[in-house]
Amino acid sequence: MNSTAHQMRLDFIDPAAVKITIDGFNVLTYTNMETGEVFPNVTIKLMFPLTQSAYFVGIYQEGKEVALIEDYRKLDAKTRDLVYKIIEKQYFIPEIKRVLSIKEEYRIIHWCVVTNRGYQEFYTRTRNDVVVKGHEVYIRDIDGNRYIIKDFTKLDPTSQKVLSPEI
Amino acid sequence: MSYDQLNRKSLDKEEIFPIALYEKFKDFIGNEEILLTTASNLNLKGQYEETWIVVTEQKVHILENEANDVKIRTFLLKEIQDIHLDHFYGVGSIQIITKERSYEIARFTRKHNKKFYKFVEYFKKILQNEEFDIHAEIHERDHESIYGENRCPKCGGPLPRGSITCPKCTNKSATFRRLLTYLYPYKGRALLMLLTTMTYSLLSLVQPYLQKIMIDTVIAEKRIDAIKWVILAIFGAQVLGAAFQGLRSLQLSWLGERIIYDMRSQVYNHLQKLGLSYYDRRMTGAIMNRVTGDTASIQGFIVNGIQEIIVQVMSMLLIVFILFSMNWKLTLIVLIPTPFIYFGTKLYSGRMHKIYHRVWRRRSNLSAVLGGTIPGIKVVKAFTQEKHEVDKFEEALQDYFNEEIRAAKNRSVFFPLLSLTTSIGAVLIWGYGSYSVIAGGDLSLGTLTAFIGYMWRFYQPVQMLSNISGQFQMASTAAERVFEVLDHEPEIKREIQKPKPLNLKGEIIFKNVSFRYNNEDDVLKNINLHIKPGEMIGLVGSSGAGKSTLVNLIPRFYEVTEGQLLIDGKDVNEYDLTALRAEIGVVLQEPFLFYGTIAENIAYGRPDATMEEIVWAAKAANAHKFIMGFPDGYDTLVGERGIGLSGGEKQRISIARAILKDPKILILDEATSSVDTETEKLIQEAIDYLIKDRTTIAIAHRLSTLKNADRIVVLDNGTIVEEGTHDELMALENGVFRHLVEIQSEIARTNIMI
Repeated sequence: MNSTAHQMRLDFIDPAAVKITIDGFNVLTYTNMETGEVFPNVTIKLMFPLTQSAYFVGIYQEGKEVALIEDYRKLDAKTRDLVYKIIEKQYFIPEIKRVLSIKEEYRIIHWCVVTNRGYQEFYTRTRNDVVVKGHEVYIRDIDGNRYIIKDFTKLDPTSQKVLSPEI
Repeated sequence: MSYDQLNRKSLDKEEIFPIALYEKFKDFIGNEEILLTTASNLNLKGQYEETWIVVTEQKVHILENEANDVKIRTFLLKEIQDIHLDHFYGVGSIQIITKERSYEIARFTRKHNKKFYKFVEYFKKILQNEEFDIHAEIHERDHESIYGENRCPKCGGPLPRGSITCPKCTNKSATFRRLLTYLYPYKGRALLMLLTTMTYSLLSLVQPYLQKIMIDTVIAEKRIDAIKWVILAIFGAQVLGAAFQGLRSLQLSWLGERIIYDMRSQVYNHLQKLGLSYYDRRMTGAIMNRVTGDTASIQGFIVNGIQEIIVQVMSMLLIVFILFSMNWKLTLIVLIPTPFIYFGTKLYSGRMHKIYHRVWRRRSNLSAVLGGTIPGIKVVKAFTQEKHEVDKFEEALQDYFNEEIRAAKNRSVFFPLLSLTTSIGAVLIWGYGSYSVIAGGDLSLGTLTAFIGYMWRFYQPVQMLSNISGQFQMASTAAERVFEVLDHEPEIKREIQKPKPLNLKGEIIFKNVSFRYNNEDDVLKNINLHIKPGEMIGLVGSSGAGKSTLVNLIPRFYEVTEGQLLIDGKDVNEYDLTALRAEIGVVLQEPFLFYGTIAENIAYGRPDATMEEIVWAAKAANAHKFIMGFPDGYDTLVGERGIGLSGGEKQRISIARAILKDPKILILDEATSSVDTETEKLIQEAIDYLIKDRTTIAIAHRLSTLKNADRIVVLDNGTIVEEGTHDELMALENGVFRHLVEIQSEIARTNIMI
């Protein structure tokens, strides 16, 4: 434990060594091109799904981490597109582009918003459901769905005005 | 296929198949019988778009809206081998598996999680040709089987935090009527309060009229003899007013306190009977607030609010009547500012509501910073984060200051404006009234004086009434919160008769037991385990493997979702709950000591225990020695959460508690995980004593403590992966248990070397 700096390095895999394929049953197989090891039936998970969705992508087999990718955008085109598609499907975090209205009734806050996934209405209940970090706003609705506003100062003026009592 | 048939087979009776979609779809489907339909709220590209699934006798159709058209995909049931539900982050997905490949047929957000669990369950029945009646199975039950616990069982709408009462389905006037029932036992006093209130407000209206008589009759007509009578009348009205005011205040306080007493005792009583899962889903602070804060708001409204409405409405009507009878023209002038006052106050309240909401948010931020640092001050100092914490607090403070100033600005505009508006009325009356008096019209000086007196009294109720709806809403919300507790059925149902000692042997059988909290994934999957009477079972597994959940099912802290749990051959649900729990002892990882003496804490499970038994239990639990180290011995007060005692000491008291209870089944939930080796030894000795002649299930973090176990069960990810004696499991090549033991010995060796 002499050099903590040395100890704190994560063992990222060389992007060139990662090959991930998918079969007709949506089963993912990861091949380490350096060692030739093949890991069938793997899953892909993000370590920071809200804040750093391109970084720290883990590959897991039966819950065990078999590889860690630092930045998946550096993977070869085919694998990268596949990883992108999987993340896009598995991590459903609509980004709010416009806030149309926020109404509170009986301690329930009703939101009408336009997201990058389309128009949506949802409900939140407490201040803990809306977390502001810098200019970013993270929202969790009563069903546990997540929404994100990447920079509330860049929303149109009406949206900002509507949003202001909640942040 | 009829439109009705289509809707009748829906998983959710509130879900209505779009008529336009039906028109396009009906010819396509022809005469096939419909078995199941449902809608998801996302399309397969992950956009918010309703997608319908219709399962018929032979096919499954997926109907997706696409650019104003409907895209229909159809699969033959005979080609489908299986169906899968996957949960991802904020999204779920359904896949059907054929011989060649799998196809995604639906995507949905978390709102529909539970519904699609059901969908998969029924779809599998269809695949296996099992008969079922969706109408009987789903529609006759309520929505709770379809939506999560955060939504109303009736309408599927959102429920307020920690509540099971849907604001949309609740009848406000019914809530209000129910509130009034609390007054009913004291109707005599309530009537008295009403009468004194009415008399008091009448008396307060007499004075301006007497002033009028004084000016117009006594002074103008120079009737010296009448002075004393008018003065006496004014004084008499004042004295009576004061007397009625006192009487009213006493009645008000008595009624208010009495109602709050009844309500609090009723709520607290009920809270004790609710199942543990009620508490899991709510913060303790919020629950405590029901007993204290919410009942107080209700008291405020029932007593002050209601009588205030009566007084103000009555005064307003009476004043208008008096004014009109004195001079109708002047009365009309008085009424001119009324709409401005009424709507102005309403507008202001609405605006301030939003501002106060912001102020409240900023204040909570402030408390959050405080709450996060003061209890953890040791950590802050250890990591030298004082500056960072001070900056964080300053920032929160600045935000709070800004919002308060914004509120102050609004207040400082509104109230002067309000006075200005009312004074406009006064100015107009002074002007027109003085002119009429001098010009010798139909207005006397006395009437004018009385008029002005009444005018000021009139504007006050107008303002108050424009605010009343907000107050009413606050009180009814508080009432709903309180009633929600009272209406919450104890979660553990099917109570049977009065408790009698069960004299259990202590045999426990888990038969295909699965369990999940709410609509999350299974925490336990298909557990099969037979524990013989008197056997000592060690339960091992990584955190989150389901160990605590498994043991929580035995005293019925939670009920099994699927399968059966038998104790002495009888379903655990068939036992009387109190009797069952009397036979089960639990020692938790973090023992909780109640405020009271050590002796009281040991005797918690058996308040009738003798002093001798208490000391004996403490000795058996290796607690006697340290207890005697305190000057007050067994009479030592242990305060909030047992402050003053170390973790190991608290643990031994809780073991003594279990020993004294003498249960047939004993559950030890990581009882020795948070203590040092020396204390562990003492606790282990205590436990060894405790487990004699009982069925024991011990969850252990330190595997060395399980050497004496008859059998060790290894859980992983909700399933049993290994089972056997210590030696048997150690003999397993690549075994999970063996691996865990090796890691722990490695750590122990490293520690010794250090």
